[in-house]
Amino acid sequence: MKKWQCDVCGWIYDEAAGLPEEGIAPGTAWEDVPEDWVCPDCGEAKSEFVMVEI
Amino acid sequence: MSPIVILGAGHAAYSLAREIRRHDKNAGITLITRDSGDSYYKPNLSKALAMGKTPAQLVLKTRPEQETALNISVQPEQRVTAINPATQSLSLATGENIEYAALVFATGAESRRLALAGNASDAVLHVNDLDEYRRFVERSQAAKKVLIMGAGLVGCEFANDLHSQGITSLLVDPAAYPLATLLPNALGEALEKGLSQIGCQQFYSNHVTELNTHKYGYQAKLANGEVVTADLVLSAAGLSVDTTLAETGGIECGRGIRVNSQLATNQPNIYALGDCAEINGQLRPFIAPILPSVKALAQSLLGNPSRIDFGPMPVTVKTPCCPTVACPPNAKVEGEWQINGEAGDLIARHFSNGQLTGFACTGKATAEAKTLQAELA
Repeated sequence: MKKWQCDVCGWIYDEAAGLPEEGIAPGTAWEDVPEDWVCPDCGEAKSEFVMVEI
Repeated sequence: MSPIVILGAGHAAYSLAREIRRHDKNAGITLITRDSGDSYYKPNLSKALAMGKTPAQLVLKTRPEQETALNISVQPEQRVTAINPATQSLSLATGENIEYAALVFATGAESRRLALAGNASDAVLHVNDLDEYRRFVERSQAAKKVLIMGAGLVGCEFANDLHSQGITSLLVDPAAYPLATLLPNALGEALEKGLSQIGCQQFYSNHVTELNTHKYGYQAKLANGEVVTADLVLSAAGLSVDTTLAETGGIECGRGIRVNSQLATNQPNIYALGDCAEINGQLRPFIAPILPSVKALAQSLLGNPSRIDFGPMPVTVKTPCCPTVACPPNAKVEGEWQINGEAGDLIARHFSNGQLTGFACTGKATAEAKTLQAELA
């Protein structure tokens, strides 16, 4: 399970946690997050995220 | 060909540079800033203690990394002394002159300096940028009690963050309850209860009149005669825009730099966005308005003039003791609040002649924020 960080505000998407309040179940891989999804904190596009080495 | 020059290096400045670059690989873009040009996300300042992040760790990209990533030039530690629209150039304190094809003010706002009697008013700290926050963190290492002037978004978030480190905060505000400009009183009182449950001492309908040094810290006299002491004093009493530089260029200003729906000032090729801009007479603070502004302004700068349609702009207040989302009605709209829910989980809907014109929610009810926003749009 990987983590992805928004390059603009630092918010982290954790694949293990998903984002249930936005209908993204825990365990959802980054590739399966919809392309038009945006960062819940700053609204930036999915393309602005980078994988975070844990 | 002169570049697009953006004054500032905060969220608005870098977001605009990124958006322009997304649509035009070659446009020359230069940022000129007073600070180091390292990028950070200001809303993180008021939750960094709980996140366990030091000021240095709040830097997301250094200036050189941003220059490479966006193929732009960023000039740090610069002071701009004058704007010369006639020659489409600006002057730096170094005496250098820089020409621009378009000039964008993204210079933000300053934390308001409160006039205080006593011998300690210049010891008051502010936290409106990373440099100010670095000084605050250094000074708060040994602090046990911090007096915060202002119970708006920044004051409440900092109070909560300090308590996450076992530091007590004293919150003073002239309004009758916290977040009074964003919430109806029932929800303000829910937040007040949340703050007191974590040990925050609150003084409403009150303000500091005098501040003096006292043993190792400070003693503050309040308007109602009470006297409180603290190790540190923080001002979070709202923001004000310094329009001096804009005025050197004959740019029309009011409470901010005046712009229309295309973010254009009265001077050709000069624009403003973010906390420094007064858009059609309205200040638009916080993060949410920056994204639609950046999308519209990038188009205009690339020759496709476009207007902004803000739509509802809810503000998320990151106070774990009582999470809050607020989307207040436009100040000029008459109407009344309808509140339901119980304890700290409340939803408030604002109606004017039968139409939903604003909302706010606290506690668990913040899960409804997205649906309320859709109802409002």
